Amino acid sequence: MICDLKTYKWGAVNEVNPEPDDENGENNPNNDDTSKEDKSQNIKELGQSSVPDLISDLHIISVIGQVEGHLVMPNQNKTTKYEHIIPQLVAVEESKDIKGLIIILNTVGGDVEAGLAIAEMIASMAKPTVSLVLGGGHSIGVPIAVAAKHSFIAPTATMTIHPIRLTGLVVGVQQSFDYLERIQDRVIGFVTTHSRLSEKKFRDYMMNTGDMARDIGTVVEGKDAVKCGLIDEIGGLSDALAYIHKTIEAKGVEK
Amino acid sequence: MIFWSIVPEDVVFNGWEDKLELQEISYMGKTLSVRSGMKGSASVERILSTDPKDFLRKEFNPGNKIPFLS
Repeated sequence: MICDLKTYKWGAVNEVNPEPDDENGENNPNNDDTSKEDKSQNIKELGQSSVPDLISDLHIISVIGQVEGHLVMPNQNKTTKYEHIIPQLVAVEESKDIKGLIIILNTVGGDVEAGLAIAEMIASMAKPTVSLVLGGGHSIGVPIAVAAKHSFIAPTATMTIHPIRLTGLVVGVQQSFDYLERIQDRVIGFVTTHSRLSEKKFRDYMMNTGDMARDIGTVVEGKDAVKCGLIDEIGGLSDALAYIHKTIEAKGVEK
Repeated sequence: MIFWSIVPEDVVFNGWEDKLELQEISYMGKTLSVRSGMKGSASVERILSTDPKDFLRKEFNPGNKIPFLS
């Protein structure tokens, strides 16, 4: 660990316990200490002692919890931060070592503009991209899922399509309503241009009153999402990986 | 902010008034914005950098803990 002592003294592990361990005349316990520390950190954070070492030419972005936008969410939320994801997408697109990107979604929605920003970034990438919806890809997760070149959904996963709502102070009713409608049109426009779903069908899903107990909208399950054209294929991890490897290979041959 | 989620707003925004204190620190030669936590540690909130490579480093991932001795 490298420390920058100018501003703060950042603790490398061995600074906490500065006495060298020189039983055998060798005092090089740093590597051992660091790996021990890593291990206990892994157990604490991930519930397992070792994370497999892997060299891969793919990168994964997992969109989990809330998509966090202009405001920092309170602590109890798990969030996907767009200010970190967007430069990561730049790095993935720019890197020579990274050949493809997998986007894994299990999101409950969040900030519309942040979500659309991520979706547009993914859609405009030249490298092969594939998305896999597991568990749920709700609300603003829908445009992110369809933004990839090819999308997969697990058979048990669901996607909720429901109307966008306005939070906070409404100053002018008509203006606020018009603005909200335009935002909704932007989302619908994005989803329908990046999937096979028609605009009418998407609006029908959005305004459906018979499907959800506490809300209007539709919960689309894996198979139905493929049938209506929102998602390209039913599949899991192996399908997504097979697709992306095939696309990378095809791209290599073209060159 | 236009918020579009299936989670009720009162659940998401619970604790909204809690003050969030962010500090800017220099760590491994990069400037990070961190949230100080228990026992003198800090967790990364965001990295202030224009180098795309930095955003792929796991040390700088949001939520990563930094041991902190002041």
